[in-house]
Formats: sequence, structure tokens, C-alpha cells
Amino acid sequence: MSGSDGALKQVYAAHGSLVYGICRRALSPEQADEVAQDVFLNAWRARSQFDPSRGTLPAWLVGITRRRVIDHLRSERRHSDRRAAEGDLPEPASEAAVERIAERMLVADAVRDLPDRAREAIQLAYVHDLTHQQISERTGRALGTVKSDIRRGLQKIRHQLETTSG
Amino acid sequence: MAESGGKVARGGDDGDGEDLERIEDLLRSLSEEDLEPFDPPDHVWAGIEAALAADPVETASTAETALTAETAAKPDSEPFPPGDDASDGSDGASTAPISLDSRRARRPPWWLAAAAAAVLVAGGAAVFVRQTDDAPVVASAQLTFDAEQFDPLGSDASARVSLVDADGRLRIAFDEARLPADLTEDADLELWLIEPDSEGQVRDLRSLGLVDVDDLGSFPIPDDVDPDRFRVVDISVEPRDGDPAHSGRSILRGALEAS
Repeated sequence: MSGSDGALKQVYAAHGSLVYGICRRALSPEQADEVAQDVFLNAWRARSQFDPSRGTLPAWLVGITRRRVIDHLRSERRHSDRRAAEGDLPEPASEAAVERIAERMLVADAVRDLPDRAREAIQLAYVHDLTHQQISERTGRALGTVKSDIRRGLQKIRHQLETTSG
Repeated sequence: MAESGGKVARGGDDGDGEDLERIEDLLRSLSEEDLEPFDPPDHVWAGIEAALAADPVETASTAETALTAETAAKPDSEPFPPGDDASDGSDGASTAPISLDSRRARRPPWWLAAAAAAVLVAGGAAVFVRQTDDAPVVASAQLTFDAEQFDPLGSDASARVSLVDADGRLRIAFDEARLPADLTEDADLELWLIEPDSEGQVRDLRSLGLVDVDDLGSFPIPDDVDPDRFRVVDISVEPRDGDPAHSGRSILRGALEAS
């Protein structure tokens, strides 16, 4: 395996589950496997277009994933239209669903990357819907610390999500 | 004060409230299952490997061809007018104008971009060196400790930051930093831009956000902050007292000078 293949494997190891998670939530398992492969091959071929000043690597990969999933859904729809009557899922709705899935998974990935304290505080606040006071009591940390951990966590997540490309 | 759903108290006016609210909405839409990584089965990577083997990859030299993107200057941009107050103040600010004409930095191979910057923790300090040089640098500032005016927490600290032009959006990025890592009090480090007046005193200041010594990252500059005026970069120690104002306890400060 060449050194350049090793680089792609590193990226796959770091971000494969993010890409795959989106594919599995939008497509069937077989389609997900195929599209996930397409995403990484696409990314490898387009690697010179990745500009780190415009956004993070996971955000770039998620952009490619969205486009590949949507392309796949459109192609599936073209095939099924030939066989069935019109009236299947309207195109805009399913594409919006893919966008939403991609955004959610990128956020979830960013949460997993947070330092332990911030990750715990953010999970308790937003996924488990606890108040800051409740989090303070449960974790034994001061209220100010909890708020500060959450604020820093949100800033980091925003940094992860940022991309200035479409 | 009861706050449900982890609503963040917006203390300072940093112009990013909307962004963070959108992120909060997305976070609330997550289930526990969403937070579990969904590892691909082994055959997915095997398929990628097989496809790469069948279709020879480009050599590293062709992969490094950068896109000839247009300069990211704003349509009506012109170099900032030079400061006419010739203010030196306590920071020895240069009066050289900060130009928005971007310097085209050679883009690194993408696998370097994925590498994290080195963070070494030595004693009570976290030392950081940025490994890749990606966005064009517009100006830089060496931040130093003033033993007479600053908080002693900064006595071993230093930092160098750059004002970078990331596709038309200005950010402050850390190039190097040695920052106190073990704050014994319940406090954070916060990054500010200060607009000095003609005597070198603080006319105005804006927070860019909290500094995490484990992950310095970069800080977007709000659109209404003009870095030619807000040219002094400051790092302070901020106790977690709910007060968004500058504590007055700076540890490092320096003026941006055009590259």
C-alpha cells in the first residue's frame, strides 16, 4: 500500500463512521455501503480541492456525502418512476431529510470530539434536557463551570460545523 | 434561576448568537443513539482499497495542484487607510495599514491538514505550535506579558497570533502559544480585540470568545469589528462570575502588524 493510500486510510479511520452513519440513516444497508465507498473515492480524487481555511475536513466530507446520497436517491427515483406511477415521495422532502440527517450527524460527531467535561455537560443539557442547576448537582461541578463548559463546547461545535462552501 | 434545555445565557454581544442557537436546536434534536458512532463493516474499506488498486492514484505532485481560486478580497475592498493618530500607546503599535489583498499561501497536501497541531503540556503550561500554514496571513501580533500591569498568571506566558483571511472572512488564529494550563481558580482565558485611543488607552473592546488551551482553534471576527481600529489583541483571565465584561486581569497583549 502506498503512502498516499495510508493517508486515505487515516482519514477513513477518523471519519468513516460519520460518513457511514449518514448513509445508513438515509439509505438501505447495501446502498449505504456502496455510497460510503463512493464518498471516500470521490474525496480522494478531489483531495486537492479541500481547503482547510474554508472549513474542517469532516464538514467537507459531509458535504460530499450529502451530494452522493442525494444523487443516489435521484437515480433510484428515476428507475422506479419507469416502473411505478408518479406519487412517490416528493423529491424536495427527501432531499431536505438528507440535509437534516447530515447536519445532525456532523453535530453528533463534533460532540463526540469534545473534551470529556464539555461533552458530558452538553449531552446532559441538550440530549437529556437537564437544567444547568440539575447538571451542577449531578456532576458536582459549580454552576458557573457548567455554563462555561457548555459555552466552550458550543463554540467548538460551531468551529467543526463551519464551512464556507455550499 | 431555572433554565430548561440548557439555554445558554448570552452575556456578551459577540454577534454569534444566531449560530449558537442553531447549534443548540440541532443538539436538542439528537437522540442517545445518534451519539453512538456507526462503524462501517470491514468490507466497505476493502471495497475502497480494491477500487484504488484497480485505478492507479495520482502521484503526490499532481495532487498538490492548488485551485486557482479568485482572490478572496471583498468586491469594494481597498487597503485600510493608515492610522492617522500614529498611536503608539503601551503596545508600540505600528501605523502600517493592514491590506486585505490576500497572500496566496500554497495549500498543503490534504493529509497534513487532517493532522492535529502539536499540543505539549509541560509543567503548568500548554504549549501549542500550529503545524500547517493554510489561510493567507494579513497581519500578526506577538503577545507579551507586562509585569507591571498584568495578572501574574501570565508571567510565563507568550503567544503569537495571526489575522488570517479565510475566504473573505477574517479570523484570529494562534500560531504559537504558551498559556497557563492549570488555573487554580474557577476561571477561563478569554480573547479580546481592543481599539486603543490616541493615548493608548482602551477606547473600545470586543470579546472573540473563550480560549481553550487544549484546542486553540481560530476565532472569527464579527463583521462590524474593523481590525485596523481594533488592532490590539488581548488575553485575560476571566473568573466564572457571570460578568461578561473584561475582568481587567490581562495576561498577554500585543498589536497586530501587517505581514
